[in-house]
Order: sequence, then C-alpha cells, then structure tokens
Amino acid sequence: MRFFRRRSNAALATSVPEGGLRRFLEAPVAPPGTRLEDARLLAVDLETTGLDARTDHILSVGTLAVDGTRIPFGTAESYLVDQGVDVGQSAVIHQLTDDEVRAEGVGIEEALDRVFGALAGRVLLAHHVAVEDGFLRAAVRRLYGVDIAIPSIDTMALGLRALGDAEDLPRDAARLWRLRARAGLPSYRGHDALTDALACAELYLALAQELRLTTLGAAARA
Amino acid sequence: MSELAETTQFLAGREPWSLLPPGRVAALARRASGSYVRRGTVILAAGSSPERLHVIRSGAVEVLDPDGELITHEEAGACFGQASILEQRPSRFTFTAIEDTLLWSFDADVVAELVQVPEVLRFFTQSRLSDAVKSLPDDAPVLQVPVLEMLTRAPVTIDASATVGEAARAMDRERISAIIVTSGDRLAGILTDRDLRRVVAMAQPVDTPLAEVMTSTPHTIDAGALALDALLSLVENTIHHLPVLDGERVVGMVTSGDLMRLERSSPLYLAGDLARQHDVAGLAEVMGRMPSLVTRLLRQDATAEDITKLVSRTTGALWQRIAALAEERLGPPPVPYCWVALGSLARQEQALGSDQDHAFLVSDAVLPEHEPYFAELAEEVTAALEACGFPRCDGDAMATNPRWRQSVTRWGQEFGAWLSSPTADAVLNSSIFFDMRPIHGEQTLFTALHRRVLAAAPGSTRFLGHLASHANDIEVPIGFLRGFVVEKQGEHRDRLDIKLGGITPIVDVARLYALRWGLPQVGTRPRLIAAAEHGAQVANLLDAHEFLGYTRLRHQGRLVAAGGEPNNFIDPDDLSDFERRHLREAFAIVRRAQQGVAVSFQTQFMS
Repeated sequence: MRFFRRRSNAALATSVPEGGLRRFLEAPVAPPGTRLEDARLLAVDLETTGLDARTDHILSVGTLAVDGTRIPFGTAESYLVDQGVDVGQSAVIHQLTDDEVRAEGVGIEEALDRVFGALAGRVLLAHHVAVEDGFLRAAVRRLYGVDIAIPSIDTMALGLRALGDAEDLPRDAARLWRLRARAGLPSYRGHDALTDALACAELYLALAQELRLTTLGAAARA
Repeated sequence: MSELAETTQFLAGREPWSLLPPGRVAALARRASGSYVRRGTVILAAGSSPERLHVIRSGAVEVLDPDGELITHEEAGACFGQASILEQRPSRFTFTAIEDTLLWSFDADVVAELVQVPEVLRFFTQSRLSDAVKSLPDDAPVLQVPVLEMLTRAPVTIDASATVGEAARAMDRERISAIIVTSGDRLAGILTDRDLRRVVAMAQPVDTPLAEVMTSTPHTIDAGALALDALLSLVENTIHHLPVLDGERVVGMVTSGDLMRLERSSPLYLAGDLARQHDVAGLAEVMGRMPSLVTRLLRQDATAEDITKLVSRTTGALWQRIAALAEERLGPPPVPYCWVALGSLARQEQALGSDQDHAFLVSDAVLPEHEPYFAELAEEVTAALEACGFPRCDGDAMATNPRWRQSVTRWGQEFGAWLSSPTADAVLNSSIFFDMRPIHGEQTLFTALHRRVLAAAPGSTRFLGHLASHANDIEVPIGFLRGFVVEKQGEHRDRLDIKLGGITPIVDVARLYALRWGLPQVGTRPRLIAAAEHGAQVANLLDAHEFLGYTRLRHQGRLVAAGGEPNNFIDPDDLSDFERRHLREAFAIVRRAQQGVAVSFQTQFMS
C-alpha cells in the first residue's frame, strides 16, 4: 500500500543533513514491476519502549539485507539506541537494560543515519511493518521536521494472504513464530532485533514462494 | 560488526564448525547466505558443478544417485556440496528437498579455507555414518526399536463426519500424506494421498463424506511392536502408512519414510538374515549381497574404517552361524574350544575378496579320541566358508591343518618358540598369528593365550628386530614415472598394488608397536592410537591408512559394480588428480614410517 503512495522523497533530501538518510531519500525507488529475484530488500526489526510511535522510543535496531532470493548474512547489523529515556517495563520483553543502552547505545541521529544508509535503494521488509515504518518516520519527523515515505513489504500481510480468509483462524496465527512454524522454519530465540530481522527475512523467502510472488508490486500489495 | 547469534550458535554446536578454533565460527557465519527451497526443488543435480557448500538449517534433503536409487536422507545440520568442490568434479548425486528446506550456503572459497584445518578436511572426507555406528551398542539391531519410540508427533486426526475437502485441507495444512479418521476415540479409518487421487480421478465432489472414500479397516500396528514388524507389515501389504494403536487409542502413525530413515541399519538386515538361515546355501545367498552393501556404504561416503568394520562384523556373524549349524549336525563339542579368526578379519579390517585364515584353540582337557570330532568340525566350517565365497588359504593357515588345531598349552609353546628363536616362517606367519580374535566358542581359551603372548613379546628383541627388518623389505610403490611404481607384467601390468605396497606396511608397523609394548589391541587403528601413548608418531599414519583403505574399497566397489571380482590392483589413470596427489602423499608417509621403525628397532634390538 505504502509502496504506491509516492511522496516526493527526493524533494525532501536537502532538508536533512548529508549522510545515510539523504542517500535514502535521493535513491530511486525500484518500480513495482521489478522481479523479486532482482529486488533489494532490507529486513528491519526495532525493539522499542512501547507500541506508540508518538510517545515511545526505539531501543535497538537489527537489519539484514535480502538480495533477490538470498540473505547475505554478512550484511547483518545491530546496535542499541540511547535516547536518554528509560527502558521501563519493555525490558521484560526484550531484556535490554538501561545500563546496556547507556553503555553501548548510539544516538538517534546516528541510528537513523545507519538504518537509512542501509535502506538506500532498498525496500523495507518487516513483520507488521506499521511499527518499523511508524517509528522510523516519526523519528525523522521529530529530528528534521519532514514527512518521508518508506516503500515496504509486510510479512504479516503476506502471511494473512497465505492463511486465506478462514474465519476460525486462531488469534495469533499471523504472529511471526506461528507463520514460521507453518512454513517449516526453525524456531529462534525471539526478541533480539537482529534475530527477529533474520526470522522475518527467512519467512519472506518462504511466503514469496508459497504465494508464487513474482514482482515487488505483488509482494507489496496487502 | 554484529554477530548473528542464531547462525553462530547453530554452527558452533556441529561438526565441522566445532572443529575450528574458537572465534572463527562467528566470522565464517557472516560469509553464509540463507535461502529457502520448497519441497520437490532440486538443489544440486548430478553432473552439475556445485558452487556452494550447503548446510541444512531445517527441512530434509534426499540424495539420489544418477540411476535414481536412494542413497540417503540428510537432515538439519548436514553439509553437502563440499566433496565435489574439493575434488573439482561434478556432483555424483542429485540433492532434492523433500521438505521445505532452509539452507545456509557458503561459497567455494570458504570450503578451501575450511580444509586448511586438518580436522575439518578429515570430517569432510569422512561421513556421519561413523557417528551412527558409534552411537549404536555393538550389534544392536536398529529395527529392534519399539514403534512407540519412532513416533515424533501426535497423530493428526479428523472426525468421520467431515468431508473429503476438509480432510484434504487438513492434510495440506499439516503437510502429511495420510490422515487418521476417528469416530469418537476409536479409529474409524485412514485417508491417504492415494485415496485423494482416486477422488480426483473419479471427479467426486469435495463435500463427499469422508466415510465414503476412506479405507475403513486399515492395517494397524501395536505401540509395543518393533520397527521390524512395522517394516514387514508395510512391505507385505504394499502400503505406506500404519496407524499405531495403544489398546484402542490411536497414538500416532508410522510411515515408510520413517523406516527409510533407519536405513543405515541395512548392514544389520544382513546380519539378521544370516541368523535366520538354516543351511549353507541360504548363508551363501545372503553373503552374495555383501558387495552391493559395500558399494552402497561407499556411496554414502562411509569411511574405510567403518566399512571394513561392518564387513568384518557381518562376516563374524556368518562364522557364528556356520559354527552353530555344524555343531547342530555333529553334536556338541566333547571339550570346550574357541574358533579364532586370524589376519584381517581379526583386525576387523576385512575388505572384499579375502580368503579365510583361522584356527581352533582347544581346551587342555582334550583327549586323543576327541581329535576326529575337531577335524570333522574344521572341515565342515572351512567348506562352508568356501561355499560362502571365502577361498581356502593358500598357506593352509586354517583349522583343517592339524598344526592350527591345538590345545591352548601347545599353542603357547608354539608362540614361545617363534618369539625366542625366530625363523623366516615365524616372521612371515606373524602377520596372521599375532592378529587373532575369538569368533565362536569358549572365549576364555583365547584370552589366556593372548595374555601369555603379550607378556612375552616385548622382551623378544631378536624377533622384533626381524619383524622390523621384514616390514622395511616391502617396497612402497613411489616412483618417478607418473609418481608410481606399477606392476611390470602379468595380469595387473601397469597397475599398483595398494594393499601390499601401502596398507600391509602400515598394518605391519602397527603390529610391531603392539608387540613391542605388549598392547592388547588387535585392529591397526586401535594399535596405532595406543602406540601414540608410548611416544610413537602416528597421526600421519592413521590418515594414510584411512585414505589407502578408502581408495582400495572404492576401487573394489567399482570392480564389483562392473561385474568383476574385487582385487587390490589400481590403475593410476583411473584416479583423479586429487586422488593421485593424496595417494603419493600417503605412500610417502608409509615409506617414512617403515624407515623409522627399521632404524629404531634394529639399532635397539639387533646391535
């Protein structure tokens, strides 16, 4: 859906400092007809202090490229983000502590520079992409006052498509781990940003084959 | 750099990655790439050149030879593709995903780096079969596993009131080829892929009641039954699925696929079949399957050590059955005796095409009037072995020869004489008589003699010196022309004798060590490993022994596959560059070892 909603990212490029984010905004967007074997994606997973992009914050980032039908592990990146806020109750889920975030975290500017640098020329891939899309765009808006668009593919939407519209689906059928199990993929220890990004990337490869998707446009339609 | 904890952890816990220096796995993992293949996809076709080493992360891969014969199934953790990369030749097998499979793949340059670590090279040239063999207690037949232990998941069931369409959807969702139909708690029937094909072929509507198309009185098996029973039932009824019942409750399903996964036990089928035979003709027929068993093990990339061990064990089972049948006919022995194997079978290193070497150790209670019984018994078992494909020994080292059929005390005296005043005959026979293993009868007779020989050998310096010099006499076929010395004439002209020139000298060196230090081990590898504790340098010899043994078996496998008789003569032109290079290296190691023992033993014992 967001894939086709083109706002002119390029026009916003000069509103942000040089670096990864600008490169992202300037990079041409792959046309919907791009064949999936040639598509360049970036699986992204964010751990956050909560689910509301307006009030919660990014705590850690994991990213991993998907080049066509392969996931090159060497592209894996992960880092903690220190925004001077407390981890709070979310620590229960992702087990990040305030001390870790303080000690190893990078600032939000650097985090965005790195995420968007990796995302330049690629399509964002995430499970329930509204979270990653929302948090990244909100952070850019807060820092630079611009409203950007991020072309994306959502494995949850693909998963729902694969499950069909049966009414009696269990409530958690579209969860990452349930969809992975259904595709015969191994179970990983969840809630580490990079592991989740890998889990999402693998699920994407599985669903793309199951749904016989051939183009970026078909994968982005949800 | 960010560590992908999932990849590192998975690899680090498995060979060959666990053999790498700590810390290297994480860096290597970053050089892999992930991909996903659907069931039915050919990952690597026979004849094509692999560019990647694949690790199965999840799913399963079927390995077929070019004739479509099933070689094996590979599951999570297994690697494939590396053998062809290393030997720079097209893949011999076709690898097909039989489940949706997640692969982690490495480029060829990673393989080249990995094999710089000797343990990894060894792992890649060995097989997982060795683990399978090691994890089994001696001779434990895998098919004796209770069916209950083979079940990996709860049964997938559907109520008999459902429709065909619902059943098909459930089967698709669960990725199964058959579903159990229940009525209440009771088994009502089974619906298989085969039934569904019929539904489609007859254009029956999807809302057809399940009860109309299912098999309503399926064959079943009791949870307490053995895997063997399940196999027999599947074969007998030409079906692929057996619901498993605990009383009247369905607890699971056994499929032909489950049993195929136990296929590694095939050598055990052979041993099991031997035990069921009641005459020599039946035994000979079962043993006729041995060459094809060896070729199959070779295709499974089993090690020479494993294969010769399996061949030896199976041959041992044959001897036991032959002895039991002979004793049935002749009556029980008048006094205890032990039938011992000599030579390669005793070392558990039997390849194909060996002759028979054996002896009787008879209790000291033996009386002259018992002699005819043992003579007749010896003739009977020897003739039976001959009928089963083991030619009589040229040197007459068999229990039919009265000299090889003596009381334990007389045997002790005989060994004592050899050790104290070595004759050429004693030195030549040492390869047979110092490699002895009890096969049938009263084992304590053997133990007593063995202990006595081991105690006397280390002090027999002149004998050991002769042995060392004899070991050094064998010429290793390294030469200048194409790197090998080959036979100059006769039937095997232009070929090299891999046994005489390579394997035998290693066996001799290992025996020398065993006698020198009074080691109780009989096999060459166990002897070398034990000798290392006394300071012998054996690592290279172990590798050379495995490589030569493997090359010999593969050569024999090829001969058998082409309908020929197995022998030990290899045409260097039949080898790949990789094999030729390694063969020369192995011979060079053998040569150095020979010279080494000659120098150390002769200076130590003869000067």
